[in-house]
Amino acid sequence: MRILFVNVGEIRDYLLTGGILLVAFFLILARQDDAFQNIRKASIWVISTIEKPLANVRIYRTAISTNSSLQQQNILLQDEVNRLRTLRDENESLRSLLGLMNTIEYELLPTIIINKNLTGINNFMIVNVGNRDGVQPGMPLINADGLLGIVSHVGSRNSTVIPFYNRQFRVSARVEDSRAFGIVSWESPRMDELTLNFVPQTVEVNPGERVFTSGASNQLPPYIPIGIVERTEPDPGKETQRIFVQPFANLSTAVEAHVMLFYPEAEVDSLISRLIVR
Amino acid sequence: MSLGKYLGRDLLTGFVFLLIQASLIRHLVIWNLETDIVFVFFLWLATVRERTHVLVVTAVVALFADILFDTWGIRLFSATFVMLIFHSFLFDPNEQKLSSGSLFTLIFVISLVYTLIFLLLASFSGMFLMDISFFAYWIGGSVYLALTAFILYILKPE
Repeated sequence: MRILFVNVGEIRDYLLTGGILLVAFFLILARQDDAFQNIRKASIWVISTIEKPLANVRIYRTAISTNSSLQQQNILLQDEVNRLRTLRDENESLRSLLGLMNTIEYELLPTIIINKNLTGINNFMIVNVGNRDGVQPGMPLINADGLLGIVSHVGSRNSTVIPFYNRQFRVSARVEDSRAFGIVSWESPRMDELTLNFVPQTVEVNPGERVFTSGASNQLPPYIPIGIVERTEPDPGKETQRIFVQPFANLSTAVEAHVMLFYPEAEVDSLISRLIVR
Repeated sequence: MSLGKYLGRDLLTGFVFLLIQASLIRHLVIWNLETDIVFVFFLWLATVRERTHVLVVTAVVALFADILFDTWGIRLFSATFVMLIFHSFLFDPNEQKLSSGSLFTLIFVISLVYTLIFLLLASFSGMFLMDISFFAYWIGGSVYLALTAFILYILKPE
């Protein structure tokens, strides 16, 4: 009796492709897994090594425009400083009456954005500071205009940053005048506006109001400028509204930035995790 | 099967293309679209090598591209799948030249399929939001990729 075997040679390519596709599918599903962190760190190192010479070119190319914009900003800030000095004296006397503690200030670590991918698919940036400089995942990246993104993965000398134009970007924020809290994310197909969600329709929010980080989530410190309200519209079928925010910072032209060395309160985190478990 | 003969050389060429993509081509962004010179290399490879060889080289180089560009598995899946399907259309051991129109059409159709699979998987993994800009990314990205491949094909030495 002869046993018929399928000719493996004929289906070899299909078997090979099947195996490769299975591996690919596994990688897609497990891409956020901690097991890949070391490979990620190595890839950050490779990309940053390739990009460093180009980053220097980019700095010189944008130096003149950055300089003139900083000069303008300096004039505006000097005016604001003068007004704030008078307010500070008033504030200090009121604080002493109320017995409030001083607002905490955070150390800023200067950095250069050595790599940017802003094509709309998996946007990310790489900065030339890492865990040897004290950088940790979750720290905010800012420049003179405001928030640029959040550090996601940290290597020894370089780190990747999720910019605000990334589908995974989520930050607790507050509107300046109305003091409404919400979550800022990037939902628009356009790369010039963010969306602030979960603000009730009963709260009046007007175009021109500024949006800051709220500090409520223990993820980022408060008062980091994010953007300015462009327009609002009711969330269909919900009691909340969608607030469209134009970011202050321009990701395309940003080259120099600072990582804010903000360490979340461990006690607050443990209290939140206990609540979530229950 | 000539897997061993050219494997090292083709892998090395693939990594050189990957390096060029990472350092230069990735910055040639037009209307938020970027081209993929590594995929152009896979297309060329499919014209001169047997399918098994092409699949192995594509898988290895695409895996490294995935790690480098944080796209974990998306390039590996789309490039390997496209090479399996379209290899028979591209492989030409006799080197019979197609007319420019036919060649561009073939490259454009392959680019359309590759970009579609890439975007669908990117959307599935949460890197990309399927919205009104989907068609702009799909068609625009495919045209940019096909043009890059076509121009490189014309410029390549005989």
